[in-house]
Amino acid sequence: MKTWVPRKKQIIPIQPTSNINKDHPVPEIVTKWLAKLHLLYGVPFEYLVPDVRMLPMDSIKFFHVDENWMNNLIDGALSVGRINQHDLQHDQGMQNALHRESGKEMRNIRKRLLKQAETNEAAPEVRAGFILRSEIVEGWPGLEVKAYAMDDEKNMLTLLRMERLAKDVMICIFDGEFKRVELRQPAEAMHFGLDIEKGQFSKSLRSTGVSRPLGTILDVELDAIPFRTADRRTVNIEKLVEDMKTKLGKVGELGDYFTSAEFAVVMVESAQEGVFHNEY
Amino acid sequence: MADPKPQKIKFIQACTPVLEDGEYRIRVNQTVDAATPEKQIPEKSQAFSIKGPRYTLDPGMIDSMFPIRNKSGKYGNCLPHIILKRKTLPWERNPFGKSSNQHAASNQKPAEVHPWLAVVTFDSVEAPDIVQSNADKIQNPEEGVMSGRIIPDTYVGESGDTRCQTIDVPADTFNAIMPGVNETPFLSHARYVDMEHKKTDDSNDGYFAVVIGNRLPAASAEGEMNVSHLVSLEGLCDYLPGGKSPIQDKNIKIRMITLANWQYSVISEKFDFKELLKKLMIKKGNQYLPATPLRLDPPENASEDLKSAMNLGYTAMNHHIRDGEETVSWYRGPFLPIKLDKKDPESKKNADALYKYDPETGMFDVSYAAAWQIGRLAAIKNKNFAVALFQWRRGHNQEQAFTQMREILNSKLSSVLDFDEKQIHRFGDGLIRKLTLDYIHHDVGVKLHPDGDDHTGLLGKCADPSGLRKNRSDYPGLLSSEQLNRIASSKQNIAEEIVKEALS
Repeated sequence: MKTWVPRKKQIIPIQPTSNINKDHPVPEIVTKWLAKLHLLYGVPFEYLVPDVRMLPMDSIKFFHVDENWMNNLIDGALSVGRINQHDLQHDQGMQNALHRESGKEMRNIRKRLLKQAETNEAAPEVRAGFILRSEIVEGWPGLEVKAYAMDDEKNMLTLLRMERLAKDVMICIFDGEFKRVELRQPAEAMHFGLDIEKGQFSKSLRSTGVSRPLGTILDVELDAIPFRTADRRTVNIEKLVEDMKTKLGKVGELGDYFTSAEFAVVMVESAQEGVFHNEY
Repeated sequence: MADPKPQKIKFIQACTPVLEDGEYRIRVNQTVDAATPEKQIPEKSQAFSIKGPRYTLDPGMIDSMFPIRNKSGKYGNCLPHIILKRKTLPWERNPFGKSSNQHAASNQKPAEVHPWLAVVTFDSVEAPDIVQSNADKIQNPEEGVMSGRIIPDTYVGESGDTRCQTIDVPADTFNAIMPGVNETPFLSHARYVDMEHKKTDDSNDGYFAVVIGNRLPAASAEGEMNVSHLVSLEGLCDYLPGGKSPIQDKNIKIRMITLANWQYSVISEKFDFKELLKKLMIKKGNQYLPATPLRLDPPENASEDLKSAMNLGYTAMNHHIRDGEETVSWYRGPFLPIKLDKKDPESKKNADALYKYDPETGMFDVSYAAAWQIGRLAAIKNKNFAVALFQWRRGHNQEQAFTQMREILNSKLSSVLDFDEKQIHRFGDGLIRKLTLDYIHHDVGVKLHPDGDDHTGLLGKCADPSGLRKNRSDYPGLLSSEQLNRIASSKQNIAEEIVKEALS
C-alpha cells in the first residue's frame, strides 16, 4: 500500500439550510423543553430579578421580555453537543425554525396544566408580564389574572405562565404587550363581609342588576350596620335587609324581589378587583 | 331553571329539590267509564322515601369553607360561610317539620324558602364541646336540654342508634348568636360559577350552594380562635329568635346536630384584598398604576451614565473573572422596564462571545453572556433534552449532507445516466452507498473527464489507498470498465445491476 502517497480529501461544505428536514423532525422532548425555557422555567430567580431591592414587599412590577436575552438563553441550551464549526453552522441555520417550533409549544404548557385542547397557533412575537410580591399571592391562591392589549376589555391576552415562585411572589407572562391588567379574587371563593374603617363597620352596596350591571359597586354606603348584640358581632340580618332595601330603592336598584340571591350579591365583599394601567 | 348562559357567576335564591327528603307514597288509579263499573281497576300504591344527609354530612359534599380551616388571618369583617357541592342541599329538608310543604306554597313568587342549615360561629369562650351522640339523644334529650326532637326515619335505615355529633348551647348564647327565623332564608343561596377559567374536577357542574353565617368572628391582635358549625335547624325553627316560642328559660341548653365544623384564628386587622391592592399602586388621574417599574432607582448623586444605565434596567454586579480577578459588570435579566427591538437569533460558540465592553466606563455588560450560560447549564442538567438534541442534530446533519449529495449527484449524473430521483435514493444505504461512492469517485469520473487522470473523480480527486485502481480488471469482485459501461447504458435498476456485475 502506498501509504506515502499523500491522501487528498475533498470537502464539500454542507450549506446550512433553514428548513427542518421532514424525515427528521425536531423531537418533542426538545421542543417541549425549549418551550419551558422560553417561559424561564428553571432559570434561577436571581437572574430574573438580580437585586431584591427591585422587588420590595407589596409591589407589582410590569416588564417587557427582552427577546434578545431569550434568544441567547435558547442558544445556550442549543450549544450542548455543538462540537465543530459545522454544528455551529447547522444550528445557526436552524435557529429560526427551532424558535418557531418551540415557540408554538409555549402556548401549550399552560393548556396542558389546565387540561385544555392544545393549539398550533404561532409563537408570540413579543411578550410582557409582571411580578407580584404581596400577601395577595399567599392569601388568594386562586387569584384570577387578566391582561388586555388595549385599555379596554376587548383584546384579552393569553396567559402563558402564571406561577408562584415563592410564598408571596408570583410571575405572569402574557403573549403580548398589555395596557391593562386586572387582578381578581377567585369568583367561587367570594367572601361576604363588611367594610371596616377605624373600627366602624359599614358596607358599600352593589347593584342587584335592576338598572346597572349586576354587582357594580354603587356610590351608596350603609354607614350603620345593625347588630343584635352589644358585642357588635351578631348582625341583625332582618334589619340589615330592610336597610339595604331602603337604600337600594333610593337609587333605583330595588327590583320586584329581594331574596337571598340579591342579599348575597350585595354582601359580597366589595371591590375584590384591582385594575392596573400600564404606562411603561 | 333555565340553562345558564355563559357568564361568570350567577346567584340563585334557592335550588329547591323536586321532593324534600322524607317518606312518600305514590298512588295509581284509573277510572274506567265503560258500562261495566264493577270491573274497576283496583288502586295501586307504592311507598318510597328520599334520603339525604340528616344526622351527618359526607365531607366530600363540602367544597370549601371561609375562613379557611386552621388558617390565621384578618377575617374580623367577614361572615363565615360554607360552600356545598350539592346545589339543593340547604333546602332538602323542611326545618318546620313534615306538616308544612313550604316549597309547594312558594311556587308562585320567590318568597322565603327556609333552609334547614345554618352556620353558627362561636369564639373560644363560647365554643361548645362536640359530643359523639346518637339520634335517640336528640329525640329524647335529658332534663334541662332542648332539641329539635326529630324522629329517626326507620324507613331509610335511621334509628335511635344513628350516630351524629352534637353541641349543647346555653340559652342566652343561643338567643344571642342564632340567626332569626326570618333571617335564615337570606343566609342560604345557590350559585352557578363559570368553570371555564379555573381548574375543574368532574364532581361538579358549576352549581354550588352557600350557607352564610350571621355573626362576625371574634378577633384579637394575637389571633383569636373561632369555630364555626354547620348546624341542622330541623325542628328548631320555633325556638330561633323571632320564632313562635323563643326560649325564655336561661338555664336550659339547646342541643343541635353539627354537620361540619371548622376552626380558624382571627387577627384583629383587616386582611382585605382591596387594602393589599392599594399598597401596590399609585393613583394617577382616575387610573391606577404600579408604583414603580422593575428597576432600581439610581442614587440621587449618581452620574448621568449610571442613571441612564439603571433606568434601562441594569444592575451593577460583582463579577468574578475567570483569571481570578474581581470587577463590577452590568447585568440585567430578561425582564426590562423598556421595550427593545427583537433581533434574529444567532448561534455563538461560547458565552464570552456575548460580552459587551463599554470602553468609556470600562465595564462589561454580561447580560447576554449570562443568559447563554444559564441556557447551557440548564440543558446540560437535563440529560433527556441534551441527548435528544444531540441525536437530532447528528441525524439532521447527516440527512442534510446526504440530501445535498443527492442533489449534486442528480445534477451531474443525469447528464450521463438516465437516473430518476427514486433510483438515486436507492443508493442511499449501506453497501450500496459504499459501492456507489466508489463507483462515482473512481469510474464515472473517468467517463466524465476522459482527459483527466484516473484520480480525478466526479467529486474531485480521490485517494487510491489500495493502489488497485489501475488494474482493476485483474481482480475478481471489482468492476471493470466494460462492466461499468454496461451498467451505465442499462435501463435496469442501477443498484441491482452493480451487485449483479460485482458478483459475476
